[in-house]
Amino acid sequence: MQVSSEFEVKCPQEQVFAFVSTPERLAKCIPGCSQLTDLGEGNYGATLEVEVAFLKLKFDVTVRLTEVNAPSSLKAVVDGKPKALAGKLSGTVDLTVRAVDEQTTRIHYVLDQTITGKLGGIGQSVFRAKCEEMGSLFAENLKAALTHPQEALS
Amino acid sequence: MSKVMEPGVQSAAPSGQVGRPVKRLESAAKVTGRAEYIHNLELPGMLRAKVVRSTVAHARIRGIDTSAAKALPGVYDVITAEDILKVIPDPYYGPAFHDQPILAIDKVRHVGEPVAVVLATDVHVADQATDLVEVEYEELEPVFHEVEAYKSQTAIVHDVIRPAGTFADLKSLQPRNKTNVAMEYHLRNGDVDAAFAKADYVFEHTFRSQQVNHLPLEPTVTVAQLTDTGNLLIHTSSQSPSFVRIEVARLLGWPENKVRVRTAYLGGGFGAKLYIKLEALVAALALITQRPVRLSLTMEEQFYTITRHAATVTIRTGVTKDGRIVARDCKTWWNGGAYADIGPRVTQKSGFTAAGPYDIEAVSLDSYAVYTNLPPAGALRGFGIPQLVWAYESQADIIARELGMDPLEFRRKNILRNGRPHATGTILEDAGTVEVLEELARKMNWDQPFDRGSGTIRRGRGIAIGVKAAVSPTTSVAFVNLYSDGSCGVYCGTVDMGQGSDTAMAQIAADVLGLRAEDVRIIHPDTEVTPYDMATLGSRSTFHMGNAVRLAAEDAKQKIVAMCAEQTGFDPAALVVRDGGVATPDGSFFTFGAILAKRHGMQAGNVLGVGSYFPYYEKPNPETGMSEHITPYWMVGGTGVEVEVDMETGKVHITRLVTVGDCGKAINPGIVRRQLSGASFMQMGFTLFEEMVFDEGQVVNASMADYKIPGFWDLPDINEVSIVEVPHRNGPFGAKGIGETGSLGLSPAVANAIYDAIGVRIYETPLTPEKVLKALREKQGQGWEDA
Amino acid sequence: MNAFDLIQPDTLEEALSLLNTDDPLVRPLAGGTALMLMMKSKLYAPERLVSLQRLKPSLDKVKVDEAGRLHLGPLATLRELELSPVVAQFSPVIPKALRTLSNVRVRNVATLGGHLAHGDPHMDLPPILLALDAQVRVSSEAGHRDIPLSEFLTGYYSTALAPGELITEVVVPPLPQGTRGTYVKFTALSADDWPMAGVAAFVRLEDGQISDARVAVSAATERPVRLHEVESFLRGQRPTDEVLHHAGELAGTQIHPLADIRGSSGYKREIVKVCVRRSLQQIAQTDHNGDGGVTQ
Repeated sequence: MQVSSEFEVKCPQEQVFAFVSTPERLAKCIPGCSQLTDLGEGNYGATLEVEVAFLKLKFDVTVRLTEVNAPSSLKAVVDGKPKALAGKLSGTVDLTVRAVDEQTTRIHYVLDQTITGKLGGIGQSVFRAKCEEMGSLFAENLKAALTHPQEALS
Repeated sequence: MSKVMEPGVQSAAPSGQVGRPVKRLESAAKVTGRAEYIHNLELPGMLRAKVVRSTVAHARIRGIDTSAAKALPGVYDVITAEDILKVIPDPYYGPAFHDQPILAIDKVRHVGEPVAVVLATDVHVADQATDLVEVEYEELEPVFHEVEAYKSQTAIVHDVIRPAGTFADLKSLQPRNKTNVAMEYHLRNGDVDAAFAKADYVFEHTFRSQQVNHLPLEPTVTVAQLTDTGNLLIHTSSQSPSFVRIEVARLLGWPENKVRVRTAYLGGGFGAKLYIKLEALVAALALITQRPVRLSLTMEEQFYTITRHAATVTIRTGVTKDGRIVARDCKTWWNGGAYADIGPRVTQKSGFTAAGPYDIEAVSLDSYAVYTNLPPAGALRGFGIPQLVWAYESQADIIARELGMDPLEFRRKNILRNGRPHATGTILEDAGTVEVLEELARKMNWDQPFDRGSGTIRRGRGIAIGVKAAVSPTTSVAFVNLYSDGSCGVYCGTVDMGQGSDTAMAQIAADVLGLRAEDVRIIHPDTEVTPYDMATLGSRSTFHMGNAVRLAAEDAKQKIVAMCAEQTGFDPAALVVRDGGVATPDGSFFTFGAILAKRHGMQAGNVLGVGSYFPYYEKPNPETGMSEHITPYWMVGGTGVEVEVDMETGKVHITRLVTVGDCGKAINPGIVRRQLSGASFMQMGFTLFEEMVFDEGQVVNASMADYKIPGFWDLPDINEVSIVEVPHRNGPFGAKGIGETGSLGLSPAVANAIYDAIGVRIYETPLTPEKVLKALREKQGQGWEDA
Repeated sequence: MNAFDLIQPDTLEEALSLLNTDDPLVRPLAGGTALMLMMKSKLYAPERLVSLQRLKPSLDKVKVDEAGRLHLGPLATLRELELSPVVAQFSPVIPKALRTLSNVRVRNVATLGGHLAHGDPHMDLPPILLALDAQVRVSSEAGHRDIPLSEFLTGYYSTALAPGELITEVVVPPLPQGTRGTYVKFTALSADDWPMAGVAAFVRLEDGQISDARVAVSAATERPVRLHEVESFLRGQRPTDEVLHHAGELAGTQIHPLADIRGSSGYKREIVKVCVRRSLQQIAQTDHNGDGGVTQ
């Protein structure tokens, strides 16, 4: 399952990159993401909660930054396990940041993710729409955070 | 000799049992819910097993923590490979290679691979506990596509390749370590380069078939228990009880006589229940726990247990201006998944037929069984042949149209006739290649004009023909037992999984013994009582077991006649067997029971006939891949379709389906007809929409809600079946196998009809509406963008 | 599937009381055809299911009132609706659509209420009921409220039902005289598959002009939606080939299809365009006594 999107924020590229490459800040923009912990060496642990109607899935995830090319791109690998279910969530995030002008930055991301195990069948189709929704919510959150960079960076 | 049977016309003399459209012997039991299936078996103290399956496609196992699962109330035990190793020190099984561990050892090679088993008396408790088993994986690079896997030097599925040496025909095939090539087969017949140089045109195309599933409506189930003497009794929904016994005995290091394997009716098999599936695991569990253990798969688990090979076929053909095929070079990569199962046999058996039913001067064939990190692939109704026919018969139409020839004429010109050598060097004998093609042409009214329509709905028609060799060499043994009252039981290992073999075998025995088929009892496979049979697969039973039953019945007949001759003083040659007894020249008639009673002084005794059949076979030359006796007989099937294609949606509707098959002699015309159309419908699903969709090795549509098979509304408006009879000199009453014949030609016939309708060629199945519309729009220069 | 408690209340009040909880692991169970798929896959592992089976006698009535409104009891099975002469009389599009829904075993147990409350966009009745301006009555211990179906279906597997609420009735206002309808369903795989796209259209023609048009699309979209732009474009037009073609093209611009194993988003858009146009063409071509129908 792949979700990609592109959007612009009113914020200089360097600042945007500084923001997105700081997991503590970025995590706040990811819907359902909580309890971020720094595991060291570019690894982070977190809890991800995804909800569709009465269905709630909780994943323990680890995020590893695999490539950081300041100030233009970064890659991260996400691994997760649903709580109390045999299965696996794995994904990659590709984020590129490009200056449109001095004050405007274009962010493009591709999220490629897979669920295997029990949830990989029907779960995949139920959560498909949710994934897109989470993508646009992420974009909105990021926009909001970067439009008020002082708050976001504090 | 050959003839075509018209529907509804009685072909055989009504007095004989062979050729009579006898109703299925088990029909009443099935429709009243009384037929025996292993699924219904309950044993006292039985434990239910649920499998913990890998969630990753390729990884080393770092550790398995079963403590939480064991702590769940109601859980009896959790078993891992470590426990299996205590009862089976070398727990690798498989028919062609011993490469599949009973439970994963150190490594997993596909999503869904069994890693551990939870046992409980309540199956739901066992199921819940499977989620509590924590497996830690160290992931390795996976590989999924057969051509990529063939080339890959980094993603290696098996570090060591382990041939089993079970089959004589595979002994010449050598594996290559440190690659994903499990096995390869090569055929070189004639000077291919020189033949291509002679060709006026050379065509090269690549075709692909997707991975699909057998999906029998009764998922695989096995129950194992220890007997009072500590032997094993395995009740299993297997197509091959004899093989299960041999393999389980081998794994345990036991003699065969300590393992008893029995089966009942199967709710479909199609190759999903062949060789060994759950039996080794369940036998080990029974030994470990000393209790009866049952494991039955869910529909979802079937998708992770066995599938049909996806395949890529690159076919290069040289033709002359006047439409003669002079050279063919065909390379096939079979996606075998993580374990070989019977893939190597598919690679060879299908491999050598890749040149098609055509008379070609020089042929070069290469066929590769490739390991990937997908669920294992095995045999499915056609042993890989439909994937090859898809390629060579699609290309036949492409070539004919390029040359401006009629597709039928092109086939007529090149068809391989009896008396001519097949690409393997085996002379074609008693095969209905010409007869099937001509019958197809007649049924399709090919010489008549055809209205292709205009506007939104366009019409087209297409034909295709394929040949399949019988899996060889294989053995069947049967006993025919005349009981003390003269009634008859047939002991044979052929499994009736819905194909009607019980009825056919009863007809054969009855015909020889002058009985009514309805009065013959078929004893179901049980290695304790029924003799060896290789397996119920590859359309082999009518020919092989049919011969064994015929020979056993002949043997019993000869013995009872001899007994009667001794009692009456007549020459045996003067005695006639009919109506369950023996008639003497003086007009007397003695029932079989009366003859036995006279011998024993009371109602007592048996007459036991034994039949054993093993056709002559010569394994392929390791250098050339050729053999003068590659198969005991050929199956020939042709399909014609008329389709409607919706130009706006790409949807293809088959309005008329014609299936033609050469069965040599229809032992039971009704069953032959239904086998032909059943195979055709099944292949229609594989052709139009069935596809296992993978995401990183996970099947995302592993349920009948999302993996759709054809239903009644999908059937063609008109469905016609033609039975062609070209008797085989060695077949029982001339008969050949027919179970897969209807599968052979359907896919390319549909693709050819689509081309005929809208001028678009599709190279990859399934022919979904989206693929058709996309190709059409590309041709029209108007694609679409994804939103 | 994991173990759960099954409670079978005898009255609606009891059921509402049992369901009056924020606990997502307590759910009502009607026919169970959809819920069981989720439970078998462990996507949903409830602790308690409240079966509505015993409420069926009081909640499965189908009738038309004096004002001509169709009242549908939520515990009527899909099969009962398919065979109901009252429903057929009201709009033959409903029974005809039901005949193509999955298979008779499913229709024998699946209920109207479950069909709507599940919020799965791949269902056949929601687009039809949406085009018919149906209202959903939902009840809880606090009373009841009436919600237009268009507001009831809030998203992918999501509805306006709050915890503790049950659908207790579906009401369809009378169709204006001369309205004709149809449902066009497209399956990408087998014929009995979930639809890849479903289009319901109801059109009233007066003197050869479209005086009213209602078009709803489902399955290709994340929830069933009315195509208001298409409807207002159609009003006042004559149903010529050009107009209907344009209506289809317009429909394509109004939706955001989700890709899945049944089709890419681009292909689904193409199919919606075709289905919208074909539904309108069918209605325009039906003679005045005709009632439309379902095509696949």
